[in-house]
Amino acid sequence: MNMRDVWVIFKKEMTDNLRDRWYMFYTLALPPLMVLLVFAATALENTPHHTDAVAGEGSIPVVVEGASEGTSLVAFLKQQQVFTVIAVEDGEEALLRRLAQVGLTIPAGFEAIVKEEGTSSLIVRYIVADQKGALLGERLASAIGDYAETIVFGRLAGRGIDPALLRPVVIEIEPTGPSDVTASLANILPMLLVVWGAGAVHVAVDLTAGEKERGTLELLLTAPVARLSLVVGKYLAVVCASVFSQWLSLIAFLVGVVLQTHFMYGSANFPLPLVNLLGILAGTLFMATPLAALQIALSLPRRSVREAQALQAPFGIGAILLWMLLQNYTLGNTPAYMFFIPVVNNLLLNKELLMGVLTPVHILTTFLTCALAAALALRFAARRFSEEPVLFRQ
Amino acid sequence: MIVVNTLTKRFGARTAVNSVSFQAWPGEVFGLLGENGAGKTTTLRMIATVLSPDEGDVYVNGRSVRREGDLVRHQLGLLTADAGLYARLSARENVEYFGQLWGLDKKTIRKRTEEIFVLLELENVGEHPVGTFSKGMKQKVCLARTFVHNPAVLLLDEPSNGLDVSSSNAVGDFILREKAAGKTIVFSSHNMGEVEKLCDKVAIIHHGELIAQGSIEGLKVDYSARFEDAFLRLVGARK
Repeated sequence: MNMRDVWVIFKKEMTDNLRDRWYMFYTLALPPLMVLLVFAATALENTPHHTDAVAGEGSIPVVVEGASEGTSLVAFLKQQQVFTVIAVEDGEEALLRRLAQVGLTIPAGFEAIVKEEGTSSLIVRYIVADQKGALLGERLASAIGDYAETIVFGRLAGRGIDPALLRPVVIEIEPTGPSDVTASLANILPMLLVVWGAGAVHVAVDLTAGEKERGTLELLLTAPVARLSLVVGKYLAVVCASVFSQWLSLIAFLVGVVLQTHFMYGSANFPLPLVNLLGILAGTLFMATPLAALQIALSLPRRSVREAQALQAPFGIGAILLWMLLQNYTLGNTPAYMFFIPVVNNLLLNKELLMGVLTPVHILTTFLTCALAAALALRFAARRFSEEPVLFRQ
Repeated sequence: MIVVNTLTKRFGARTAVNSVSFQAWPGEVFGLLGENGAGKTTTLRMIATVLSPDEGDVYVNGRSVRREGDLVRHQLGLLTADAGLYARLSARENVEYFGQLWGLDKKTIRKRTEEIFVLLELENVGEHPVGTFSKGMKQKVCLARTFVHNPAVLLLDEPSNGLDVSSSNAVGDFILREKAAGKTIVFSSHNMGEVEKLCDKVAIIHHGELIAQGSIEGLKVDYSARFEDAFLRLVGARK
């Protein structure tokens, strides 16, 4: 392999790519734009009205059927300064008309039953497919639970019993580890990085099947350049496309997270420690190296760009399936052998980095196996560049 | 000089080129003629080291394509019928890229490119992306790319295919100029007028086999006919 030749080929491919408006748009501009758009849409959805409703600082409209049957409960809910009670005749119909996202049905005689120390039941409703409605329903049920507790306390006090007897244990839940935002990032971001990284497949297609279709490959093969130099020059261009795509999308993603946390919580702290962010940025190379080599090896035998583009689907679906498969593995319960599987180990490593964990042995294993996989795939690709049926398949 | 010695190439059960032998000398344009699918392009690809022969060998200035492919490639320039260009690169960048691949230094590449662009009247469009060029202009850029490293041996597979008269003449003039400079040129074409004008000797291939070779005048005398009729008679007799 001649490094000068590698550089000449790499430089040409980069120039060619950067002048390709579709490449610039689809690989470098569209993924980050889409990421920002998704965050913008989510931020709009989480306007102060909706957000505060969940956070308990504003007003949650609740359609209440039979409000007159439970005056003390209605008064309790109003006291919470969270709920706005809308009295209706038919709670179910009011929900379907979207008067509110959550509803309460108070049965006839509720107030009297409570006063007589009996037991009654209440119905909290929300629309099945409405996730936010379900969340609000839980919040309403929790408030009703508090109301029930005040009744119990009243009944016990009436009998001269200390209500504290009912609470021998007070549970305080304190989630440890990274914040909610970081945990969410650890859940979704590694998969997105695989998708963004694999998106460079169309660059690999253009540099292999595209060369064939344009009729330039044959000319390249007559040049006194070693096949390995040819493959490595092209390979580096695909690696760059993959890494740039991951970086730009990652930056857009983190900007989106910062903006969203600003809108939702009024603060805009950066969700990741710098060292972890640098680790993830470096990790994009681990991801790109085996993927790019594999993409080149698989694209080369294709007769046309159109035929080779069919490869995009398996790469995209593969990333999603991989992510689904790895959902069950959390910190501490990931078998060690998984860090020896290229791409999988990168996904898991990113998850660790996002959770604030730095395990040198995992970083080393990921680096070595990805480098080894890339070397083998490159060797395979270089060999394919010497196979006549692959180069001149008609 | 090119010595083609009992060259054979098979694709599965089909024999594309069967024991073809000929010689082309410096300062000579050697025409390779035949119908579509006769085996001309396969023969040129083997000479250019793109395909490897199943039997036989080719010697380019004494170097074997089988054993010394790299050394052979340094001496070759190939222009294929469907040669492509990088549409987003300028004419100059296309030519300079191949100059770099042939190991030329920047100064030499620039000098050669300037000279060839003047000869082919491309000097005013050198910086334009070739995607905007007409077919004739693209073919001139392909020609410039083939010649940039000043190869001793030129393999031209239907270089004027689909070109208008003016572009075709420009290509023809360029070939004659290179011939005068002592280059060995193997040339394939369907255009008998062009073959007669440019070639010193020809070989006629039919279904992968060499059915005749010699000078154009010799073939005319042997068949007492115009060159085109001689070609048709030779090929027709084998059908």
